[in-house]
Amino acid sequence: MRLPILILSLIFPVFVLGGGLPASIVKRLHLQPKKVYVIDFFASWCVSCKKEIPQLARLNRSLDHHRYTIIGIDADRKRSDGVKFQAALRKKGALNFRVVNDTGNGIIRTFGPPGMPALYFVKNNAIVGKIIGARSHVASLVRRRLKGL
Amino acid sequence: MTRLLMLSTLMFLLGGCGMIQDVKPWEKDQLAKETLTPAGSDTNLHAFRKHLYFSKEASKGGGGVAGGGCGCN
Repeated sequence: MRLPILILSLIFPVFVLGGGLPASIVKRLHLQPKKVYVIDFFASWCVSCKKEIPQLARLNRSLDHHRYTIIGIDADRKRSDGVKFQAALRKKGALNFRVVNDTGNGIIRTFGPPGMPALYFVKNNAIVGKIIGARSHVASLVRRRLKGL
Repeated sequence: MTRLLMLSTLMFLLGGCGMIQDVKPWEKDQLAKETLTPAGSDTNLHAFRKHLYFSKEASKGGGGVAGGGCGCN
Protein backbone atom coordinates (compact mmCIF):
# COMPACT_ATOMS: atom_id res chain seq x y z
CA MET A 1 0.00 0.00 0.00
CA ARG A 2 2.89 2.36 0.82
CA LEU A 3 4.72 1.84 -2.49
CA PRO A 4 2.09 3.48 -4.79
CA ILE A 5 1.90 6.48 -2.43
CA LEU A 6 5.68 6.78 -2.47
CA ILE A 7 5.78 6.62 -6.28
CA LEU A 8 2.97 9.20 -6.58
CA SER A 9 4.67 11.55 -4.12
CA LEU A 10 7.87 11.37 -6.17
CA ILE A 11 6.03 12.21 -9.40
CA PHE A 12 3.75 14.94 -8.04
CA PRO A 13 5.07 17.51 -5.57
CA VAL A 14 2.74 18.47 -2.71
CA PHE A 15 1.36 21.57 -4.38
CA VAL A 16 -2.23 20.51 -3.91
CA LEU A 17 -4.10 21.85 -0.91
CA GLY A 18 -4.59 19.29 1.81
CA GLY A 19 -1.47 17.48 0.67
CA GLY A 20 0.34 15.93 3.60
CA LEU A 21 3.98 16.88 3.93
CA PRO A 22 6.60 14.13 3.83
CA ALA A 23 8.01 13.11 7.21
CA SER A 24 11.47 14.34 6.22
CA ILE A 25 10.14 17.89 5.72
CA VAL A 26 8.13 17.79 8.98
CA LYS A 27 11.27 16.69 10.82
CA ARG A 28 13.55 19.23 9.15
CA LEU A 29 11.21 22.16 9.83
CA HIS A 30 10.33 20.87 13.35
CA LEU A 31 6.61 21.16 12.63
CA GLN A 32 4.12 20.45 15.40
CA PRO A 33 0.69 19.20 14.32
CA LYS A 34 -1.39 21.57 16.46
CA LYS A 35 0.31 24.78 15.33
CA VAL A 36 -0.36 26.77 12.18
CA TYR A 37 2.74 27.59 10.16
CA VAL A 38 3.32 30.25 7.56
CA ILE A 39 6.15 29.05 5.36
CA ASP A 40 7.74 31.81 3.32
CA PHE A 41 9.97 30.85 0.41
CA PHE A 42 12.43 33.55 -0.57
CA ALA A 43 15.88 34.10 -2.06
CA SER A 44 18.40 36.94 -1.99
CA TRP A 45 17.98 37.53 -5.75
CA CYS A 46 14.16 37.82 -5.58
CA VAL A 47 13.24 41.52 -5.56
CA SER A 48 9.64 41.03 -4.43
CA CYS A 49 10.74 38.73 -1.59
CA LYS A 50 12.91 41.54 -0.21
CA LYS A 51 9.82 43.76 -0.02
CA GLU A 52 7.65 41.11 1.62
CA ILE A 53 10.02 39.91 4.38
CA PRO A 54 9.92 43.15 6.44
CA GLN A 55 6.10 43.07 6.27
CA LEU A 56 6.10 39.50 7.58
CA ALA A 57 8.54 40.51 10.33
CA ARG A 58 6.11 43.25 11.44
CA LEU A 59 3.28 40.72 11.39
CA ASN A 60 5.39 38.27 13.40
CA ARG A 61 5.68 40.80 16.25
CA SER A 62 1.93 40.78 16.76
CA LEU A 63 1.26 37.05 16.29
CA ASP A 64 0.26 34.66 19.06
CA HIS A 65 3.34 32.45 18.96
CA HIS A 66 1.62 29.61 20.81
CA ARG A 67 -0.65 29.20 17.80
CA TYR A 68 1.22 30.60 14.82
CA THR A 69 4.81 30.42 13.61
CA ILE A 70 6.45 31.92 10.57
CA ILE A 71 9.30 29.97 9.03
CA GLY A 72 11.44 31.34 6.22
CA ILE A 73 12.96 29.04 3.64
CA ASP A 74 15.93 30.60 1.88
CA ALA A 75 16.21 28.99 -1.56
CA ASP A 76 19.66 30.42 -2.32
CA ARG A 77 21.83 27.64 -3.69
CA LYS A 78 24.95 29.39 -2.44
CA ARG A 79 24.74 29.33 1.36
CA SER A 80 26.95 32.42 1.80
CA ASP A 81 24.54 34.51 -0.36
CA GLY A 82 21.62 33.51 1.82
CA VAL A 83 23.42 34.03 5.11
CA LYS A 84 24.66 37.48 4.02
CA PHE A 85 21.17 38.47 2.87
CA GLN A 86 19.55 37.31 6.12
CA ALA A 87 22.20 39.02 8.26
CA ALA A 88 21.59 42.35 6.49
CA LEU A 89 17.84 42.02 7.10
CA ARG A 90 18.24 41.00 10.74
CA LYS A 91 20.54 43.98 11.34
CA LYS A 92 17.75 46.30 10.15
CA GLY A 93 15.16 44.42 12.22
CA ALA A 94 13.43 43.35 9.03
CA LEU A 95 13.76 39.63 9.72
CA ASN A 96 12.76 38.16 13.09
CA PHE A 97 11.65 34.63 12.31
CA ARG A 98 13.47 31.31 11.96
CA VAL A 99 15.04 30.67 8.56
CA VAL A 100 16.07 27.34 7.10
CA ASN A 101 18.73 27.46 4.41
CA ASP A 102 17.53 25.19 1.62
CA THR A 103 20.75 25.13 -0.39
CA GLY A 104 19.97 21.75 -1.93
CA ASN A 105 16.47 23.04 -2.83
CA GLY A 106 14.95 19.84 -1.43
CA ILE A 107 12.26 21.67 0.55
CA ILE A 108 11.19 24.06 -2.20
CA ARG A 109 11.17 21.23 -4.74
CA THR A 110 8.74 19.32 -2.51
CA PHE A 111 6.35 22.28 -2.30
CA GLY A 112 6.94 23.16 -5.99
CA PRO A 113 5.69 26.78 -6.03
CA PRO A 114 4.94 28.10 -9.54
CA GLY A 115 6.62 31.43 -8.70
CA MET A 116 8.38 33.40 -5.99
CA PRO A 117 7.74 34.76 -3.42
CA ALA A 118 5.56 31.91 -2.20
CA LEU A 119 3.76 31.55 1.13
CA TYR A 120 2.25 28.30 2.33
CA PHE A 121 -0.04 27.75 5.29
CA VAL A 122 0.55 24.44 7.05
CA LYS A 123 -1.68 22.89 9.69
CA ASN A 124 -1.63 19.31 10.97
CA ASN A 125 1.43 18.76 8.75
CA ALA A 126 -0.64 19.43 5.63
CA ILE A 127 -0.82 22.40 3.25
CA VAL A 128 -4.09 24.26 3.89
CA GLY A 129 -3.49 27.43 1.89
CA LYS A 130 -1.02 29.36 -0.23
CA ILE A 131 -0.26 32.81 -1.57
CA ILE A 132 1.86 32.81 -4.71
CA GLY A 133 3.51 35.89 -6.19
CA ALA A 134 4.14 39.40 -4.97
CA ARG A 135 1.41 41.13 -2.93
CA SER A 136 1.65 44.75 -1.85
CA HIS A 137 -0.13 44.18 1.50
CA VAL A 138 0.93 40.64 2.23
CA ALA A 139 0.83 41.01 6.04
CA SER A 140 -2.87 41.91 6.16
CA LEU A 141 -3.62 39.15 3.68
CA VAL A 142 -1.78 36.58 5.81
CA ARG A 143 -3.51 37.83 8.96
CA ARG A 144 -6.92 37.41 7.30
CA ARG A 145 -6.05 33.90 6.15
CA LEU A 146 -4.76 32.92 9.60
CA LYS A 147 -8.04 33.98 11.21
CA GLY A 148 -9.84 31.45 9.04
CA LEU A 149 -7.57 28.56 10.08
CA MET B 1 17.95 3.78 -47.72
CA THR B 2 18.65 7.54 -47.89
CA ARG B 3 15.17 8.29 -46.51
CA LEU B 4 15.71 5.90 -43.65
CA LEU B 5 19.05 7.48 -42.89
CA MET B 6 17.55 10.99 -42.99
CA LEU B 7 14.64 9.91 -40.80
CA SER B 8 16.91 8.30 -38.23
CA THR B 9 19.19 11.39 -38.24
CA LEU B 10 16.15 13.64 -37.75
CA MET B 11 14.86 11.46 -34.92
CA PHE B 12 18.29 11.48 -33.32
CA LEU B 13 18.47 15.29 -33.51
CA LEU B 14 14.92 15.78 -32.24
CA GLY B 15 15.62 13.33 -29.44
CA GLY B 16 17.94 15.95 -27.99
CA CYS B 17 14.94 18.27 -27.50
CA GLY B 18 13.57 15.82 -24.95
CA MET B 19 16.47 16.63 -22.68
CA ILE B 20 15.48 20.31 -22.41
CA GLN B 21 14.25 21.03 -18.89
CA ASP B 22 12.21 23.98 -17.64
CA VAL B 23 13.93 26.47 -15.36
CA LYS B 24 12.09 26.22 -12.06
CA PRO B 25 11.16 29.48 -10.25
CA TRP B 26 13.74 28.80 -7.53
CA GLU B 27 16.48 28.25 -10.11
CA LYS B 28 16.26 31.75 -11.59
CA ASP B 29 19.14 33.18 -9.58
CA GLN B 30 21.39 33.24 -12.63
CA LEU B 31 18.73 35.06 -14.68
CA ALA B 32 18.36 37.70 -11.95
CA LYS B 33 22.00 38.74 -12.16
CA GLU B 34 22.74 42.32 -13.22
CA THR B 35 24.79 41.19 -16.19
CA LEU B 36 21.73 39.47 -17.66
CA THR B 37 19.55 42.57 -17.59
CA PRO B 38 19.16 44.57 -20.83
CA ALA B 39 21.23 47.32 -19.18
CA GLY B 40 24.06 44.96 -18.28
CA SER B 41 26.20 45.61 -15.25
CA ASP B 42 27.03 49.21 -16.27
CA THR B 43 23.81 51.21 -15.88
CA ASN B 44 25.52 54.53 -16.70
CA LEU B 45 26.65 53.24 -20.07
CA HIS B 46 23.14 51.97 -20.75
CA ALA B 47 21.66 55.37 -19.85
CA PHE B 48 24.15 57.03 -22.22
CA ARG B 49 23.24 54.62 -25.04
CA LYS B 50 19.54 55.25 -24.44
CA HIS B 51 20.16 58.99 -24.63
CA LEU B 52 22.01 58.56 -27.93
CA TYR B 53 19.22 56.37 -29.30
CA PHE B 54 16.58 58.89 -28.28
CA SER B 55 18.56 61.76 -29.88
CA LYS B 56 19.04 59.93 -33.19
CA GLU B 57 15.71 58.14 -33.50
CA ALA B 58 13.38 60.56 -31.70
CA SER B 59 11.81 57.64 -29.87
CA LYS B 60 12.43 55.80 -26.63
CA GLY B 61 11.29 52.87 -24.51
CA GLY B 62 10.60 49.25 -25.35
CA GLY B 63 14.11 48.24 -24.49
CA GLY B 64 13.55 46.30 -21.29
CA VAL B 65 11.27 44.32 -19.07
CA ALA B 66 10.09 44.81 -15.52
CA GLY B 67 10.94 42.52 -12.67
CA GLY B 68 13.84 41.06 -10.82
CA GLY B 69 14.10 37.75 -12.63
CA CYS B 70 12.03 35.82 -10.13
CA GLY B 71 9.06 35.58 -12.49
CA CYS B 72 6.76 37.27 -10.03
CA ASN B 73 6.32 40.79 -11.44
